[in-house]
Amino acid sequence: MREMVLARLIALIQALHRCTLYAFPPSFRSRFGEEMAEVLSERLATAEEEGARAVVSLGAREFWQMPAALVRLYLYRWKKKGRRIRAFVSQVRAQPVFGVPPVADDGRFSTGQLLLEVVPFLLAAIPIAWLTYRPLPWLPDAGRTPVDAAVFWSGIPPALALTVGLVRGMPRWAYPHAGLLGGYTLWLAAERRQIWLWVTLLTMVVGLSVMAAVVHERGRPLPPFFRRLGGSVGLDWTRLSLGVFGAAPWLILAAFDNAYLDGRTPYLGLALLAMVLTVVVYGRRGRQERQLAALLGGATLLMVPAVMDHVYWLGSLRAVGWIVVLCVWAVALLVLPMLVVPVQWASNLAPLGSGEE
Amino acid sequence: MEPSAYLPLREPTLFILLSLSADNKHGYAILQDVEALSDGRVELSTSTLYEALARLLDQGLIARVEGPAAADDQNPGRPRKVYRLTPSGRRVLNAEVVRLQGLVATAQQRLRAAGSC
Repeated sequence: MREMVLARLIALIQALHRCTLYAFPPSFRSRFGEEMAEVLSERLATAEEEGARAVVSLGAREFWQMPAALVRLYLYRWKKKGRRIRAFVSQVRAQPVFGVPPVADDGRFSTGQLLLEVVPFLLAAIPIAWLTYRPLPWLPDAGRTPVDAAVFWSGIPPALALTVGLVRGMPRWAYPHAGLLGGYTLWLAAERRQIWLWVTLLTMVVGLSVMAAVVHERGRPLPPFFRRLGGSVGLDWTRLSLGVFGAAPWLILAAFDNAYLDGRTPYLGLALLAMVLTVVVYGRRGRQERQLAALLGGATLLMVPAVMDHVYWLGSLRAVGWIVVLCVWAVALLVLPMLVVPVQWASNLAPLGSGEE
Repeated sequence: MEPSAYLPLREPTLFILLSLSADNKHGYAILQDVEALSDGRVELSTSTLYEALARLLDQGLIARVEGPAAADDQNPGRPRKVYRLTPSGRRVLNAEVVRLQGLVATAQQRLRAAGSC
């Protein structure tokens, strides 16, 4: 009778052990599962000779230690996976881009370059401020708001400037115009409820750019025009972030969508000032991380007045959620170039780093 | 990777490597040896043992090879997997022993100094 109970206890422990093996990762199970079961059987056979107490003790130890072993095993695998992903990312980012023709100095620390970069933001800030604080009664189409009137014409200058920039191989000053134009098209698409079309077009542009990069990397080098564009981005990935920041005027317009009604809010002026100062600070930074920090700080700073404005007029924080969402999107888009542009592309910056500050 | 990168070793890991330093062993023999080496203090479960073996295999400190089939095996005639210490595993084990020796020497020195006061 006692032997039968002991045999059933052993069978139960073995069955439970086989079940708990399913908690282990499949690859581990297929590699060691049978072996573990065999070793347990041998140990149980030895314990059986020592009596029921030894069998119970062995079973208890098996199941008591298993959770800790599982935690260690999964932690080790996750850490290893993390290491693999990090190694893969650094490998991808370290890939040199062949065939990119040498690009000109990016004009960092040049006053002329800085002025050219600030001009589009000033050209956007001045009319926004003017139309908000000093509305012009003679504007055509009285039914439209000043913002609509400004919006209507605001796509042309950045489009022209961007065309010139493209022809000249996208120097740094041209990037904000791309952002301005992007913001313009997004604004129109949202107004005419064609945001899906805008998203589709943007996805196509991004997809084609990725395909072009892959073709360039693995197949034939692209025509010189595209190589110059790649070289321009490769010289300094923060240029893409600056391009994203180019949409800041539209961000401000969206955040202060009712500002023209009251016309007295000082917060809009503060946001515009923060935007222009951000570009100045960006232009004077010598290191990419500082340039990015300037843009991130600027994006956050220009949203703070928007939040303060809403709190002032509405008296609560309830309606500022969408502004925070806008800010989060802006920050994510500003950081994105750092993650997608290979580090090696920016190797040309090395001599410039030594001359900073 | 440098041996010091693996240090300090967890106690079961140290005993497993120590067990394999003498000769190649299969899982059950390792368990018995670890128990004997630690005077019965360290009793590993199969999950703890195989979790450690999997990690050590992955780190290249031990290797898994086909061993001779045991006569009293439950599956007679089928060769069992045995584990052996690799040269890098031996280096790690030596480094850990040196580390422990240093630790013991420091502790003894301090205790002697404290005893003489």
